[in-house]
Amino acid sequence: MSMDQSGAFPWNREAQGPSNPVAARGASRTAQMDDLRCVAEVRRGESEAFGQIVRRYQDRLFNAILRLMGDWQEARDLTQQTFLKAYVSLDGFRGDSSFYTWLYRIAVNVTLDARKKRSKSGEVVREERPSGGDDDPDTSGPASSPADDPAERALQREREEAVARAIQSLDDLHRSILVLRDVEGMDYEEISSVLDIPRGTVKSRLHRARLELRDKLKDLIS
Amino acid sequence: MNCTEARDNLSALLDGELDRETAAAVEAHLAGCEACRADRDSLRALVGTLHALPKHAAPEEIEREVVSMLERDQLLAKPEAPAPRRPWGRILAASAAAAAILAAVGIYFFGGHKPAGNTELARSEAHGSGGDRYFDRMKDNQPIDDTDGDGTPAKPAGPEEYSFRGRKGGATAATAPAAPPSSGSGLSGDALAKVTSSLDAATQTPSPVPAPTPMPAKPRDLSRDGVTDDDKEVSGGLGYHWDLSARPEVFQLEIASGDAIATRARITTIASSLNIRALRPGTIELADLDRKLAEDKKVKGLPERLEDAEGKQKSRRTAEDERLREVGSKVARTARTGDEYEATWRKLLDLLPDVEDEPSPERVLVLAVPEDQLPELVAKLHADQAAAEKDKGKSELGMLAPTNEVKPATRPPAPAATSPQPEGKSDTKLAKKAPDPIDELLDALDEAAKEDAEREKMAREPYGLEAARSGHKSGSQATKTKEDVAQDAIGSRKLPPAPAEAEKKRLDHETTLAQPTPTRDSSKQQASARRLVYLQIYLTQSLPAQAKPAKPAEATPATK
Repeated sequence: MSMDQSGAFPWNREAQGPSNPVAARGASRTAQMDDLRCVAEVRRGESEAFGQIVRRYQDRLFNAILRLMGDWQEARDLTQQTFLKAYVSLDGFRGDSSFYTWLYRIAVNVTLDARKKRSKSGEVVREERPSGGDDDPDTSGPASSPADDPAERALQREREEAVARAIQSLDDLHRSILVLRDVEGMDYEEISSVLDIPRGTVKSRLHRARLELRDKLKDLIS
Repeated sequence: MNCTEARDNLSALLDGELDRETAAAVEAHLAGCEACRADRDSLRALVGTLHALPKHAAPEEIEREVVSMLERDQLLAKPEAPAPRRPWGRILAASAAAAAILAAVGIYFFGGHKPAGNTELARSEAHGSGGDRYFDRMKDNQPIDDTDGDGTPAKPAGPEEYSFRGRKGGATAATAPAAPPSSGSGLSGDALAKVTSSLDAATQTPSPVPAPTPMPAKPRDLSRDGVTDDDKEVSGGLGYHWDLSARPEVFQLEIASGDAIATRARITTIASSLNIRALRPGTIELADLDRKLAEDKKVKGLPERLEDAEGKQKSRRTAEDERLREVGSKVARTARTGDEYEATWRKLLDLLPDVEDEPSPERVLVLAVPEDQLPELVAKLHADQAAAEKDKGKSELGMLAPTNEVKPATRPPAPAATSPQPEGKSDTKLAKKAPDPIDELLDALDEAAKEDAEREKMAREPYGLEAARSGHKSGSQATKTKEDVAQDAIGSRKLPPAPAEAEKKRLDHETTLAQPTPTRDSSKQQASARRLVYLQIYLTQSLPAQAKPAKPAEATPATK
């Protein structure tokens, strides 16, 4: 698992604001180079390199898809589908966007399609994790908020579920933008690239999504 | 700025996505407007709540299952873009090359049980209806030929579209638009849905399918390699959409070896020296492939016949195993002398003519070999065996005649770039392929890294002040280094070379097809257009006929 010693995921730290923007840019560039190397290797027939891509992105993709879909099992399946689709479509990746945004474009498309299907078939969204007990070892809250108290933990969980439900109630575009920004930590330019919409639209829709969510979570936030 | 304008910009302000001027205007408004400040604060609290959502680690099975799917896909050989409809030119060329190598190294083909002690290479038919028939024949343990049982030419199978057994409810079956067929993926069209759905099916399956009984593919005589008009596409019931024209070719090599472990280690070393990897050593993945074919047929609606065939095959195998074990132990108990042992052994072989067809898993290696490296690999294996023979004298590997020297003519064909091949279809395709932009970008990045390292080195050099200065100078000047170009390319997500230049390069490539120059580009293109074939290597037992076992008691356990 790609957690550091403090228990936080790397992208969390970046989202909280990198202390050194130059270093962050350098790290991001290195990651992009690594991605491109892996892509080139896979295209030469060394499919093991794709395993590195999977390891690099599976946590982030899974979390984004989980928030988009709201269902643990489906998020798992859709993450797998995203990787497989990326693999079979790799020849179509020409490098005119970063691999990261290309991968997320696939993920969002796959997820929204699955949601459409689900809404057509009238399936009910399950709660997040089927066996998700309080002692979920995979859950990593911020390192500075140890929820040792069972009551506090239950409250936190309830809060999380309320937020997740509110996110699910947004429409597809608003939810996608919100998740890419506030869960995944993408900037507007990246969101625009992933969703293939103008940057101005990202800005206005994100604001609208937040206002809607704020209304829904009024009690929780206050 | 009024309140409406300011509020519209609040989210962007919190995200740091406003330009300096607008941000200053909004801040100025906020300083004097309490309502808008409250609005901002509530949005900030919301964003904080969203950021505080716990991050979950992805379930472990994601990686495991994706990697496993990819391994399977490797067996099905993801072809290069665009997949040729009729790659027979390539196949024939490859077969011819392999045949030439084999002829030169004195390897002969087998078509049924033959005494071991020979290195045998054959290409198994795995294309279209041939592949299906091949499977059927293999099941029935019949010899493979290009005719149906009654001697009439085989009918090519039509394009078959098998329905997929999706997961219950089919809620998450992938429906995302797949890449256009021209994208060259091995799994074309709506195949993705099938792939991913098969994944669903796989994850829904409570217990994995038991490992297939090692069942080596029946080798096929290259000289009789009738190419049929059967490059049809078949959808796999397990989710794969097989373009049979793109399925991997399977070559088989039989090596007699008394010491399978040592031979195996040597082969693995040779393979890894050529960057060739073994697919799950010790298992027969191709049997698995054939098994899938069988399951496809079940889906197609031929369950009884196939299940019967499989059941029959199993029971036959079990019976054989038992007999083998029984007679083997008898041999061990009764054989006192070498001659006695040999006689009993021969009787055993008469009883069980198919023993050689069922090697134990540790005696089978499957290598995924880039097509162009196959001759080289075979030549190396041969040379290695010759060396082993020299070392051990007339050893258990002694199947090689003195005339089996690897001749220069048998070396792998030179790259298209340096010597145009007569059977130029594949080479033309390789040369025609446009430079991969990813490779170009990576080249630029590599160059940048090199320059960077050099600059760093110069900077560290105590007396290299001048050089360091000049490096600094060039960096500060307007002239862009390659690094800058590469960084810009990443930053703006555009490819570095000017399109006109790239196009020119591509055109140059096309116009100089006949005499391509051995440039770095062309070698890269070759690398990216490589195609995998599979080499099954059987490490057969040395039979007493070739080398009398000095210690019969040691040879017997291998019959188990």
